[in-house]
Amino acid sequence: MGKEAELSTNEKEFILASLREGIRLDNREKLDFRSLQILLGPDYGHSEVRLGDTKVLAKVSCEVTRPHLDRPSEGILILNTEISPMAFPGLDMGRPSEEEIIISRTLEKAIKRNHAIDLEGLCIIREKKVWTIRVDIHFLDNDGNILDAASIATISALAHFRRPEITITGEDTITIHSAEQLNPVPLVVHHIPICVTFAFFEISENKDLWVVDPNWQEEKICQGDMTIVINDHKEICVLSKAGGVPLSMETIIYCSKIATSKVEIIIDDIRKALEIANDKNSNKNNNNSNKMDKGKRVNRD
Amino acid sequence: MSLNRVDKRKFTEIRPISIEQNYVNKDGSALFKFGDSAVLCSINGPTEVKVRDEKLDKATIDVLFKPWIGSPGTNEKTHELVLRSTLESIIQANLHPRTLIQVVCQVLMDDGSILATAINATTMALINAGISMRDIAVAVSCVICKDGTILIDPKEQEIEENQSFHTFAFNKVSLNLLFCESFGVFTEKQYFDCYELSKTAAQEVINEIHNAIKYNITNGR
Repeated sequence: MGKEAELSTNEKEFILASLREGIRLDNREKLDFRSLQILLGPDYGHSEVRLGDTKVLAKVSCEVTRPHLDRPSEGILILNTEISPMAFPGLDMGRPSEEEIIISRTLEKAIKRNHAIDLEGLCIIREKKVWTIRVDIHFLDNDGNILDAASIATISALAHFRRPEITITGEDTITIHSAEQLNPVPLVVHHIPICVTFAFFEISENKDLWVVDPNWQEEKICQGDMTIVINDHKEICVLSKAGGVPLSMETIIYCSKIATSKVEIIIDDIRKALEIANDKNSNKNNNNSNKMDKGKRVNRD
Repeated sequence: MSLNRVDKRKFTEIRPISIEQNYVNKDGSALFKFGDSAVLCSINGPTEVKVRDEKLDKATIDVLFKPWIGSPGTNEKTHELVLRSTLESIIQANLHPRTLIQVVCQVLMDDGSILATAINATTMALINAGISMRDIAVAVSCVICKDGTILIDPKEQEIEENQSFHTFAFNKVSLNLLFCESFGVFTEKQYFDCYELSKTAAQEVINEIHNAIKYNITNGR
């Protein structure tokens, strides 16, 4: 399979030279994110996130399964981050690539290990039945910083998702109600962790050269990156820097301050998108319940 | 007998089609929707091929089918096989020897008739990528109800409830059969009825494809 095209030396030098003058090729400041679009619905737990030209789709689904033996009273959360040549041309499908491992590990740390979703609430019958929540993350297009887009897509899809209501009818039997019978239940989201990625180019004593939300070209030429995961309570959840240029303490602290302000804006966007999506759904539900009421009245007559 | 379909369509009516080319930034891509079934297809190529897969006289066509939920299973592998053999009969692969044309189909929403949606999406993406083809393929699905009525372009709910499910792919030039796949119990007469009805529906899909291409050309995309 063909390799992805590399950047030419001229392109690299041009991008670096403009960065030194504080100019980015897509006309952003070094601390600007690209435009963010979050599209939720039409189904529960379906979220498409566009960060500039980077597109990620997350789809949440659920089923009833047996719990893990060592955690008999906890539901299961699975994040599936299989990447395909759609976003990564020239990918060797045989083995997991480095990108895939970094993406899945960081997301796993950010969402599962931080207990962003309440898993105990997903237990139905201890040791026998729990909900398994599965998030399939599809990478549609990669124009850099696919990790941040994936984290936004995953958490917004989880927050938007509704699982069917259940009742326990016997010792081992449960009834799963359809959306028409009983309103589906949202997941309990403890906090909203969001990734913010920085790319570092030249770090010297007098001048640091780095940007927020690197695009594809910037990602290709940077000498190191760092991802900070911050939640809606402004707490650092994960700080991941896998090699690359060494950074001073001051830079890291400054970066985390920047990340906090970025996360605030992103979480506002997610909340707005959720409100819009919930309004749509509640309108739909109201219409349904009106119809049902009418039906009942007719029966009584 | 069910007089109405779930979404109040006529029996032979296809769901509203929406086509968007250049959806992602690749050599070619297209998003094709039949109502709430949506497939995104992207094309990479002709590009460098692995020595193992290299063919001396023509391009290697590689198809990947990714489901909406879960990892690819046997069902998806069958879809890949079907898509590849259909594409091999229409792409002029001999124009690009020793290269790879990689097709990736990603289901974005699944509401039945997904294989037909994927074939149409692939057609649009190949046109978008400018890959030379002898012909183009359009596909339509249908189901036969228990009472013998034929429903064109069924939703998931309609497929579950019914007796047999058929997918037909036609070529554009002569509207002849390129590929067909059937599950369930049906008679010979029912099968040919399905064939004729699907052919009429395929003509509608072709018209939509024409409109989409015209729109893209006049808007300079």
